[in-house]
Amino acid sequence: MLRIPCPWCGVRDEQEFRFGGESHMTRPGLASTDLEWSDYLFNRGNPKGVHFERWCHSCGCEQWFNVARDTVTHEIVAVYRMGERPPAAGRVAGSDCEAGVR
Amino acid sequence: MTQRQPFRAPSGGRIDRGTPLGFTFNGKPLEGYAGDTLASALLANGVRIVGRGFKFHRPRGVLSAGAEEPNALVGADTGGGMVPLVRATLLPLSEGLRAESQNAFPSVTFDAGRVLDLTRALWPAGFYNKAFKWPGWRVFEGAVRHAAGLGRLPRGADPVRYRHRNTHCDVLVVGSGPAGLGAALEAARRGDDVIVAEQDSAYGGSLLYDPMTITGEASDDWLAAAIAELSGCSNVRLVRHGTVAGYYDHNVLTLHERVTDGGTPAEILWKVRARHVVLATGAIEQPLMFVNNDLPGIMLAGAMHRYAAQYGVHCGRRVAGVVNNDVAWRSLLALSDCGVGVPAVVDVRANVRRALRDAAEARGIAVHTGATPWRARGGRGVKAFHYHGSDGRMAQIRCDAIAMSGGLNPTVHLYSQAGGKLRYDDDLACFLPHACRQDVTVAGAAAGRFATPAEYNIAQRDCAPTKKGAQWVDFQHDVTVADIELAARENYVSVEHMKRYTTAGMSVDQGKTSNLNALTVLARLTHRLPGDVGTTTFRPNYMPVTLGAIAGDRHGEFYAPARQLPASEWHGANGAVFDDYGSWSRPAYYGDGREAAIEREVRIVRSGVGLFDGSPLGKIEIKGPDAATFLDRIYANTVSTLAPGKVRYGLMLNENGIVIDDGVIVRLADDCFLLNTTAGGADRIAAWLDEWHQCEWPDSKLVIVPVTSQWAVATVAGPRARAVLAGFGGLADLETADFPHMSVRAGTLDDGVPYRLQRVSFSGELSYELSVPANRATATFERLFALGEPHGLGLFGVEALLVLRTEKGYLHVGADTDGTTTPLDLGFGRMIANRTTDFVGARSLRRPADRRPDRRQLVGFEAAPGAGLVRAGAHFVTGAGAARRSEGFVTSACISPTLGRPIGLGLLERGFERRGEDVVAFDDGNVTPVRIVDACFYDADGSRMRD
Amino acid sequence: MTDSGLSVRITRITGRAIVALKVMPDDGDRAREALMLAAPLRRSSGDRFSLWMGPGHWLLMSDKAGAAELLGDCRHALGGLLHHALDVSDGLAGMHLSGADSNELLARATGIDLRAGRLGPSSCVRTRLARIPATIAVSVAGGYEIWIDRSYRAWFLDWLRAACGEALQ
Repeated sequence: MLRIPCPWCGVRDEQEFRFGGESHMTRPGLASTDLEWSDYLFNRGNPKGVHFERWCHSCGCEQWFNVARDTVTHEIVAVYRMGERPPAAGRVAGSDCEAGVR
Repeated sequence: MTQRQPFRAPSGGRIDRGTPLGFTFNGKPLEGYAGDTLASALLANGVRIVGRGFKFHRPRGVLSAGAEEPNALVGADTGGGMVPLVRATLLPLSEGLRAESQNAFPSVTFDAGRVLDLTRALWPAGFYNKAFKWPGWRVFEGAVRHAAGLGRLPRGADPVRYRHRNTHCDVLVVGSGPAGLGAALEAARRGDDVIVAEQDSAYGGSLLYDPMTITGEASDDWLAAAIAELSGCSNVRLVRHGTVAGYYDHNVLTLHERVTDGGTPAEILWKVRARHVVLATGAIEQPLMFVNNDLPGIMLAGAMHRYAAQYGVHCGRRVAGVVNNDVAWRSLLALSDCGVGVPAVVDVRANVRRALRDAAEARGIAVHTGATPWRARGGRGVKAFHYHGSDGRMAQIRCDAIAMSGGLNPTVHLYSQAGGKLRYDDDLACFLPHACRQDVTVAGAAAGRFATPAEYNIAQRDCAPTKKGAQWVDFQHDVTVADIELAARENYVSVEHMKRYTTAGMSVDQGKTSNLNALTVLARLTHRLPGDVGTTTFRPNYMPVTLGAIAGDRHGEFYAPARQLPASEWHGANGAVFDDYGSWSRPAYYGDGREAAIEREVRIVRSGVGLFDGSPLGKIEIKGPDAATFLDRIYANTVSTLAPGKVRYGLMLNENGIVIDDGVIVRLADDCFLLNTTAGGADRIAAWLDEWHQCEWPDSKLVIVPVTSQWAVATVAGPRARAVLAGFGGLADLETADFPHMSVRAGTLDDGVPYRLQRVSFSGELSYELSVPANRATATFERLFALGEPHGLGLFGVEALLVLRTEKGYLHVGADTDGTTTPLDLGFGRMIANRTTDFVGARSLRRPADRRPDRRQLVGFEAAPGAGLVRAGAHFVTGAGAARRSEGFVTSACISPTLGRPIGLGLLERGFERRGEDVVAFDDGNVTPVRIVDACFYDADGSRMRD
Repeated sequence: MTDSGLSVRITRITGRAIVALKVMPDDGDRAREALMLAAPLRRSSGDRFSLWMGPGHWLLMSDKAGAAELLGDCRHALGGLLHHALDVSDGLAGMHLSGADSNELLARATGIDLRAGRLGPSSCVRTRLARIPATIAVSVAGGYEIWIDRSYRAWFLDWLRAACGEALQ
């Protein structure tokens, strides 16, 4: 289970949220080609690493927002509002910390 | 009658000898003491054979004293019914406990399945992958299924109470040994919220049997003081009988607590969100590999030590030590100090520290170093141990038990589940925690701190260099060294492949005492280092968690939340028979006899007047200057041209052009709309609108307010509907001239209650939907019912409404549509063609595939009067012989009371151009000739609802 | 930890006027200032108080004033601002939860952090409670106020009764 920091309500359980898939998709208009349209509908980046995706705090404030999540470690690298640009994907590597073995 | 306990020491241990407890094992009455586990009590009574091997049914005894136990898995009934696969080593003894062996027939001391052991050569690893190919698996399946599996499922209702508990803490400490308690004290003194989870019934871990000096204090005193201090802290929660079973992302862990004190047995599944986790989970001693190392009486050295020191139980009269490390010597010396006879210790290492040798010899223990452990001899128990001495000769030690130790392996399961990486430490010959992305620290033996390398001196593990006889690796799944050799020979050299081929580590103990030996053997066979072979993936759960605990209270009436109508009780009092429609509990029909009731209700609406509760109808208000533009983008229809006070039917699509909901759109004012969605779609569509507004068109000036439950809706339908409503004070001018079909009106009733009245029809008759605040629902239904009495008004339920709308050919989204149905398939082509601006799904409808003429299209069908019901799901079949095929299916069906024959709707290839064609409806073997017709069977011009 | 019943008192909240108010999220601050909305369940002006539901979204409440008066407040204060205020008094079911085991009861049904200081006085959260969308507010009178969709009330009360065991008063 993920613990997701809602920009308005703070950190909550994943069950309170709805996943909305990859963010920053541009919706083509009616004049788009079949290829452009199918690209928008079906093709996603599915990266190994930081993924920019949108979530809705559906059982809370009902607001959509963006999450930058590492698909390997499930770490949430950043949270930002709809309409904002994704943060630079610098904080990807080196996220593993040494275990503090006593 | 109870027996005395022949293997109980006259004194010592932490058991309460003043509180004897009676229990039975395989029906035999036995006695133990409070503070015993079932395993320690069985051993005290001299019970050596507790179970049978999974595959070969060899006799097996207790191996360990903890969670790693592979053999002593028993059926146990502590008053809550017989529960299978209980670890006897963890189960606290209780008065009246009934325990029984598993996987043994007819009895655990004589098991017919042992014949498998005598023919073991026939059943190597992977035999089931090779043996059951011919003539086919089905021939063997019955016998194999009978032989497979461990334990029996309990029968009858489960008396255990299960529940969940969510919690948060600053620090979760797993394990209450010296390392765990030390971490807990530190965090508690800092003021952190602390949870300490201890799997056992007592806190202290190894201190309970292996005392030491901590900060200058005797560990017993330190332990008592630590528990007293932590118990006194309001910021500390101590949990006994609690296993942390799963370590998930973002420091979420599950803690499975078994509540034992008082009343009904209960289990609590904690979901702990911890800021920081301390894993003080200790280490698990590993067996040594030699021939017959599974005989009852052969146990882990540390476990024997624990039974002697904590429980006052001697696991044998003459215990031979067979070891490869210094820590095990400590166990043997302690055993001897507890009064257990230890005639000799056999160590694979040539050099053992002088101090240890001296200590052994001072206790009369013969020391044999540089030895090669070879085999144990015995049948149902150990009689002797054979080893190759350093002089090259085979020698024998007579003994009735063997304390073995292949060294310790840190319990890193949770660490690994957390995403922690492990590294193989050559000095300690085990896997140690290395790095983890989560906020976790590992303390004590779990971090490899069971001894300094100089005080440990472990020899590299290996099996006995012989092919004769079986050397067991996985005691529970009966996997031998030979099986791993076979796997390596057949190129299953990846540890994951070897595991699945041999099933080593795949049993319910998940290889806690076998994984390390298995991969060590594999490493040698493939000329690799153990660290290069690596471990298999550790997954939750560390220990089994009952399905009941996972389900918690989510069963029976609490399986899923049920929603009720505001006038639910009134409907019940008027004969409603309720059914579940989505999350709603609604009247399906009223009175007795389902079919007759539905038919009666349909006739009343067609000929007189009916009253229906439509309260779950979704209601969403949208207000703002951009509301109309926004709705034009959301609906496949044009909304902006709707005049205030008017109502229009609307279809919603997803971006794929698939119909996701329908309902009417009401324009309350120039800048304010009310959307009616299907009952099941109310929440989903409100979220859908929010998503498009927030994510795609955030600049649209509008606000969205769902108000479904605020309003109760009473639908009055039928030719006499107007006459009934006219008597309702405050509702006037209901004639078509003043208030035509598809219009809306709002106001205040004569008693001051606000109302909204929509003239819309789903039944095809003259119909009004009266909305009032939900608290007025019952009063409004009562009043309408009374007003309707002179007009013969009857109540009708969801089932009758579904028949009425089927007769009318009205769509039921989700029944008449599926995940492929577009508005073009439903006959809305002209409406779509008229749209020039974009809306959700518009672009998809222009794809060639969406315009193919051979798509399935919505049609009506009818059968001859007297033909039986053609059920939804039946197929439209054409052709004969090889050309016979299904061209579509029935989506809604009924025997129409109005038309007196079976009718329905369906999706049929090229359906629009096939009106008048005769096809066959195939329903589970029943074949009914049907004729394809227009999807409207009643009042095609709509005059009944319009005039 | 024993498995005896919980000491919890549950009473229905009746007669409260509730108005759902929504403005565009960016207008939230303006609306809050115009209506002088304070922390949830704190009396923001006279006998009025409010629960924050999300950006630009409140439930305005009063035990004395009627919904019509609350709607009047909005009209008066938010004149030029795009807003929609609707009477939802009948659509919501409220109950007051108090007693020593209130937190234990809630913890069976929600993952919200109930530790003191996290969900402090006068704060309010929307979450899932026993799988039902719910608003939990810390009551000024002590204990919690819980608001759910009215259609779930019967099921939720049954759930509470079962969860509390025989000790439910």
